[in-house]
Amino acid sequence: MYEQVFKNSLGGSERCILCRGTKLLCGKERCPILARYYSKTRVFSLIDSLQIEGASPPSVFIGRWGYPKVFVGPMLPPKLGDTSFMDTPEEWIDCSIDQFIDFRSQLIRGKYRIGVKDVETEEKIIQQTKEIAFSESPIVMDAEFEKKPRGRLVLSDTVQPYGPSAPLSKIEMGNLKWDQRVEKAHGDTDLKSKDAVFQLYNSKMLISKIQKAFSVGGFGIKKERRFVPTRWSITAVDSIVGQELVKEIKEFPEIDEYRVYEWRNLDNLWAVLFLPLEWCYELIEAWYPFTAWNPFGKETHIYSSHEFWKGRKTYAEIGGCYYAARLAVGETLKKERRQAGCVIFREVHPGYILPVGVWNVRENVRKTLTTKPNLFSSLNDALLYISRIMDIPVRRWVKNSTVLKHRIYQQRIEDFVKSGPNENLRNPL
Amino acid sequence: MLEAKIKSEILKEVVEAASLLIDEGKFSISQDEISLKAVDPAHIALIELGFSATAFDVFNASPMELGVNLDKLKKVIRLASPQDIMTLKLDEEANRLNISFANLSHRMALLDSSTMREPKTPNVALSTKTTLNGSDLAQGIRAASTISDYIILTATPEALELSCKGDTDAINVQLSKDSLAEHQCQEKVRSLFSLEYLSSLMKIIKPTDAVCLSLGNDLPVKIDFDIAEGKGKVSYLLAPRIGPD
Repeated sequence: MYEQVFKNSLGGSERCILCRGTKLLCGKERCPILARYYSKTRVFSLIDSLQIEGASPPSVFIGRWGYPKVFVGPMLPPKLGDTSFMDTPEEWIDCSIDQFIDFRSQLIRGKYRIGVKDVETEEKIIQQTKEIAFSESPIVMDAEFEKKPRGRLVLSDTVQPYGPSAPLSKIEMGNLKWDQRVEKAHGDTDLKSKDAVFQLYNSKMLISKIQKAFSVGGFGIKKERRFVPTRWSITAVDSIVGQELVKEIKEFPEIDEYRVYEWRNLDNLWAVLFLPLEWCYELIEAWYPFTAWNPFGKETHIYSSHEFWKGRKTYAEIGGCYYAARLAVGETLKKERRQAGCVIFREVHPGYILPVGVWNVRENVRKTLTTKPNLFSSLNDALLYISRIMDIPVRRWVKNSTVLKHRIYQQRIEDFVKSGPNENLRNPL
Repeated sequence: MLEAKIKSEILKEVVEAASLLIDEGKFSISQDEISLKAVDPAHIALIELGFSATAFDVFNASPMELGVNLDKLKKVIRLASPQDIMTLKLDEEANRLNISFANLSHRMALLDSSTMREPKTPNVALSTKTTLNGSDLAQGIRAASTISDYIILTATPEALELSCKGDTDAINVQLSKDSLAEHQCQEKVRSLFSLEYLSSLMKIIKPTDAVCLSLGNDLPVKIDFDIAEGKGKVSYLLAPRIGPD
């Protein structure tokens, strides 16, 4: 049935890749693709009580529906002990999809409606939620709900899935210790949130921790502070950190060779190409038929977003994953103190049926870049190698890549310094 | 030593031309001229600009190089009204340029110019030379940008042609030899260029300016024009795009 609804409502699934359940471009009230997954997942009934005792990893969730009045609250599993793993995407790269779903679906989301600007309200649940977001370790708590937590695994392209939810009426929790670095940034009400985020990143704080504190309005100039829906805060933090890293690497010398890094995970095939150029960046994704955002398509859809030296002025067409991957690239180049152009090729094969969140892109690109790259002296050789490791023919990648086309067809001033245009680059294919 | 006075609108033109391609630049100063040569970070365009000491009301300088943050300088100039006379004075000890006008003074830190590399100028033989109005060039470029990111510049013995093809549409602007101030072309040549660069160049070309344009086959285009009331010259070289239109 969903297939029917879906086909009637769209001109093919291209729009789905650009929307990914966020913008509802098809005009439906709910995303038919997500609805199809929901219909297949079991309804959770593991919680049959108004009260739950558990250790929050720590974790908070800020909803986006109803903005600027949104649901805010902690997430906790009905179990004690060290649960920190459950909300630390940096540690999930070796999980299988099933393991991942299993522990994420145990996270119960408490909800309490509040205006996003009311970060300083006296209401206890809100104050407690903020403290949980700032905590450095798991917090044992007793959460009382108005209704029994209901629902099933909630999926999104940006946010990692979570389990049932219910309106909160009361939280009782023990003392908790704030992360000192967060405490300092939180206390500085003249520090812009952008600067706070980058400072914390430079102090080796995990992206997921920064994002939690960011989402409860933990940073920024005092009167500008507000709750930021989890989905937006993830990309905001990726984007801020990436942007600052790129600013730094633009000062470094260009790398000397072409490099190709490769990696396979969750039926995604990754190849990262570094070019000895000034900073430019592109992420190209090829969604095979029967994958998460191309479930009924007949052919593979390829989408990309890119930036040149001056950066972007608009939000990336392909969404938050663009920023998550850019952060990972910036990180690698900064560590080397080098500059490069970068094109990321991602093939999403049919085993990838479930959107798991952009952490998957960030951590996989990070992982890809820790592998040993193959080095090449020409773009031609690098592309030939990519054609061997990827399924999609290199011609098709180039056709969909603004950065590669630019490099291949756009001449440079120095190409004319000695002896006319550089013949080598004219026809790399 | 550098001590100079100049009308703010003239300095503004020069700085805006330089900052088309770069944020930080190195001005070379001699007794009778200030010049700058730079390529953009992507190495696609090269700008050479020079303006004569006569553009200044007062100009006393010993030869030197000056590393300047152009963004910052632009912001300072924007504070002045066009007729304000700006006084520039180098404070060698503090490595600062003191800029003052009206009742404002700004002490601007200079950059280390020794790390700024000077680009090599390509030596390309361009076979045509056309002089046209800034407004005609601007019209062609504006028209092309409505449907494409690229523009084809073609010169034939009879005309200069600006054209492009979009996904569904095509645009063609013909400037016949008679309507051009000057047009030298023996045989047809054609090159393709990025509109992004040309559009931003048009920001500093006035409609009434006489623009001299030289072309070749799949070679850079050279665009020359005057600034600073005729006391300065800009020469802009843009590398072509070679491949599918």
